[in-house]
This record gives sequence, C-alpha cells and structure tokens, in this order.
Amino acid sequence: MRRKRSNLFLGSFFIIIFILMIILVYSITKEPSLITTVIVIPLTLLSFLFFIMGYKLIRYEAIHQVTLDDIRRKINKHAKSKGIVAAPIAIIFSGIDGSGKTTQIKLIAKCLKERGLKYKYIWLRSASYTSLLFSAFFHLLKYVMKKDLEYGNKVIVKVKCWLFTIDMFIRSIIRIRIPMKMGYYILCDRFVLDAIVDIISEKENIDPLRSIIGKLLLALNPRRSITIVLDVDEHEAYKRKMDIINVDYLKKRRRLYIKMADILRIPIIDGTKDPERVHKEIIEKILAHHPIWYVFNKKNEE
Amino acid sequence: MKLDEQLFRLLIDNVLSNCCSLQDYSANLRKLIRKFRDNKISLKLLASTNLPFKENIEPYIVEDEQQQKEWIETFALVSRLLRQKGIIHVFIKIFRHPWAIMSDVDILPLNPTEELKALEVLHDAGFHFFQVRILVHPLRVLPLKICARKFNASLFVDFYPKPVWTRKIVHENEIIISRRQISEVHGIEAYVPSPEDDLYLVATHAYNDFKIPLASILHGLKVISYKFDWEYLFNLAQSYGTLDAVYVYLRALEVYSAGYLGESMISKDILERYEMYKICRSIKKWFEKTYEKRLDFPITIPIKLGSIYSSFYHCGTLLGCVSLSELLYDFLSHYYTPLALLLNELRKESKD
Repeated sequence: MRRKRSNLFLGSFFIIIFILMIILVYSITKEPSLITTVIVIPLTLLSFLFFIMGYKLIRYEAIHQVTLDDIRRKINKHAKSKGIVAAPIAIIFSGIDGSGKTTQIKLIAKCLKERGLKYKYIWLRSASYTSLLFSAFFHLLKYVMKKDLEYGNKVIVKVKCWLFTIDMFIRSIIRIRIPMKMGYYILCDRFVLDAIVDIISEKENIDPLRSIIGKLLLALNPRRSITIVLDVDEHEAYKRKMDIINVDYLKKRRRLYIKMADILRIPIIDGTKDPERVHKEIIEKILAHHPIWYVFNKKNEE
Repeated sequence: MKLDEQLFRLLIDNVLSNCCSLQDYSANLRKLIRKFRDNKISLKLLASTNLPFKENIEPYIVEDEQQQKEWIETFALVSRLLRQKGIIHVFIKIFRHPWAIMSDVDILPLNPTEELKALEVLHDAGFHFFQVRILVHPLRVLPLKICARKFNASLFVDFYPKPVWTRKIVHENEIIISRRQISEVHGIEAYVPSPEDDLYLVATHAYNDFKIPLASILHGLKVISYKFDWEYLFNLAQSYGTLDAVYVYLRALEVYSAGYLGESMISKDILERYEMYKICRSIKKWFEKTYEKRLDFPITIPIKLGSIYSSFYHCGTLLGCVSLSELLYDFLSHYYTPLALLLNELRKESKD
C-alpha cells in the first residue's frame, strides 16, 4: 500500500512538471522567434518524457513478478551484444623519420579492426591555414624574403609561431576532437611533441613548460591520449628512409625528441627491435593500463 | 584480530560521532540503528560493548545475524550452481569486511545468453523472478528463493545484464570478466572482479546512490591492500567519465585511513592526477568544506555534484560511444536516482 502511495507521489510529481513545462512552452510560443523555437522544441520533448515517466509510475507496480518465458523473450530481443563502450583514446606516435611510427600504427589499426572498433589514422605534423595566408601575403608583397619568414626576422618568426599554434588548434578540433566524440579511436602520426621539436629546431627557443606557445600546444593533446616516442639510432633511421637530408639532421632532432620526452615524461620505446616485439612492448608497457587493452592482451595470451 | 579490535573501536567512535554522549543514543535508539543500517554495518558490532542500552538492541542484532546467515546461504547456493554449470559470471559489489552487512547478491553475467542460462539454473532450483519497472535496464532480473520469501527482505539475487547503475553506464562486462579472479568470500570460493574493477564498481555505485557508507570504505581499504594498478583505475574512470565518483571515494579513503589508521593509504600523486579535472576540483572544494574536521559516515554527496555536474560530464564523455537512446537513459538516470532516493527517505521517515 505504501509502495503504491509512493508511486502515486512520484508519478504526480512528474505529471506536475509536465503541466508546468507545457505552460512554459505556451507562454514562450506567444512570441515566436528563432531563439524561442530552439527553446520550445527541447522543452516540449522533455515535458513529453516527464509525462510518460509519470504515467508509467502511476500505472505500473514498482516490482512485478515475471516468468522465465517473459525473460527469454526479452533476452532474445536484446541478445545483440554492443561491444565495448569505453570512450576512445588517441594514440600518438612521435619520433624521427624512419623510427617505425607508421609500422606500429598499422599494427595497432589491425588490432582495432579485428575488435570491430572504429579508428581514424591521421598525420598531423603541421597545419597551415592562417600561417599560410600570412606567409603568402608577405611574400607576395615582397616585404620580406622567404628566408626571413623562416629564420630571419624575429618578430615575423614569432607571429608565424602563434599562427601555427592557432592552425594546430583548428586542425586538432577537426581531425581529433570531433572524430573522438563520434566514437573513433585516433591513431596519430606525429602531433604536439613533433610541433614543439619543429619550432625549437627553427631557432625559436621555447620551453614547453613555461612559454605560452608551449603550454598552448601541450593543451592540444586530448585528455584521453597516450603519446609514445619511438627512438632509433640516427644511422639506422637513415638506412630505413631514403628521402632524409642527412644524418646530422636526424641526430639533432633525435636529441631534441629525447630531451622533450624526458621533460614531459613521455615514454620512450626502443624502435630498433623487431616490429612485432615493439608492438608487444607498446601494449604491455603503456596501453595495458587502459581498460580496453586488457581484452587485447587476454586475446593475445589465449 | 588486533586490527579488528582497532577497527571496532574506530567504528563505534565514528558511528556515534554526531552524538554528545552515549545516553543521547540510548534515548533515541532508532537513530543509532538507522546509523548502522545506513553505513551497512552489522549491529553485531555492539554485542561485545558495555553500552547501557545493549538489551534493547538485542533483537536487532539477532535480525542482522539472521540476514547475514541467509545472505551467506544464498550466496553459497548461487555460486555453487553457477560454477557447476560453467556459467561465465562474476559477483559484484560484495563487501568483504566481516562487519559489513550485505543486502543482496549481485551478479554480472558475461552476456544475455549467459544470463538466460543462469536464470534457467536458478529456476530449476526453485527461484522466482521479479523485475523493476521504470528506467531500469529491461534485462535486469531479481530472482528470489521463494521458501525464504519476505518481499521487503533483501535476499534478492540481483542480475545485472550490464554494469549500469539504473542506466548509468560505468563499465563493460567483457573487461570485468576477462580480469575476474577466484577468491574466498565469507569462506566460499567465488568469482569476484579484480581489485581495481572491484573498487571501481563499489565507488561508482556509491556515488550513484549519493552515499558512501562506512562498509564500502572498509571494503576499499581491504581491496587496495592487494597489488593494485592505480593507472588502470584512472584510465578506466577517465574512459567512462566517472572520475568524479572514483575521486570522491579515494578522497574518503585517504581521509579515513590518515585520520583513523594513522597512515594515508592513498598517495597525494594519485589524487593530484584526478584534480587536474575541473569536476574533481569542484568535489575537492566541497569535500574540504564539508568534511574538513572529521568524516561523518555515510558521506552524502550533494545533488548539484552527483546529479547535475556528473550528468553532463559523464554523458559528454560517452557521447559517440553509445546510441542516443542509451545516452538519454543514462542522462535521465542521474535525475531519477535522487528522486527515488528522496522518496525512500520520506518513506523511512514516515516509518520511523
């Protein structure tokens, strides 16, 4: 009896909210405009929902007996398992050219595919929207020489850095954040760390932990992300890739990657080993802590 | 045994913390019993004390003993049946502390097929099935052994088709089952989640109920005493948008262990990682303001944090990972739960 009374109480509560919302909707629609229409539609839907809930509460018992056949019927209806729902992560690989980033991304992509998970592969070393316009504008005006845009004039280099940061922000929204919200795992070939290394190597000496540009760039990393630096000896990397300028270029960048990874506490994995071994190490050392990867590990063990 | 004795004194102090003297409680016995029940602590704890009103409590102690006995019997029976038939399952939300009192046996099967198999086994063993009406998952079934039938009694076996509290999605069957382990619970061998999943489920469930009882804290202390992967716990909470729930639980564990056991069981680094999130910082602010001097169990979470903030943060995280209808149910359950709890409180008040 008490249970029925409480149902009536809660049901009536929802129906009262429904009535109040209908009154609110009615008063808003008296002065129709685009904004009021935007408010009215969700309010109407919400009030309808409250009505349904209130009705159900009044109409049905809180706990009711069912037979095994009833349950069997329901289970058959819902038998399709929808799989993992954990929010996806972005796995970012950084390192010098020829360190094996693409190979490792392919192996992870294969795992995700086998598991029926959606993923997107993106290459995000740089982005040029505003910075490209800026460079083109000054170049067309012959205001400065091309070398000034890259190395010379300090003010211009600084402005270019800021514009580059804005571009990276825009690109990360479009290529990383939105797809992640759509349920895609992101496999990212280069990102923030590489951008920082690029900026430092362009003679703009920034401290990623103190400078505003450094902080802004680091903030671009999604919270649910893992960055991994793949490290290989510069001579080995030079052998792997034919289009690299020279070994010194790689040596300089490798030093920067190791230094930055150390400052930012990013794990470094030795990429000189066999690709399968490196892949196993990545999963064991870093990704094993992520809930979904435990299933991968288990599968591998079996 | 020494630890038990120590905890025993601490519990008494904690449960009676709101009272000026023991005599206050003897005058208002119901309040004392209510305090124990809210904290899911057995009144047996009072049996060996020299409280002046001990005789009045005797019937309640017997009632608790009976409930504990019936719970162990049901748990043993269900565990044996499911293991015999090879049904893939795990028992969740079981407080393993000897003073904790359990109200039902919660089971998480691998998938609906395993659930059906389990229900068929229980049906043959004489169980009858019940379902809860509004908003709750359509496959959530409450089997009840009819010979022990007391409708309001808490001897239900509770089948969770998914780790969802009302409809709030917090985990995945497959992951929990893949990490499950066999453990001895009250002398019975059964499948339980890994320590990390166990603590996570208890923490998120308590947060969903807007109350962290003392029994869950004692359970947490036991769980983290095993080899514990904090990194996994953080990633899990981050993936399902439940950092707020885990943070408040860890905070309570930290304050309790530091204040009552003499050493903090949770390092500051762990908590600081959570505090990088705005929602955890809001909780920190509230927690420090409310429980600055001492913890008063059960810890009650304000609706603003547990309902409003949590609904947007949790559903925002799961956006894109679940269907829109599931997301809507998830969102609504954040608001339905406090309403249902409010109603229960009103019912309890009128009963008192």
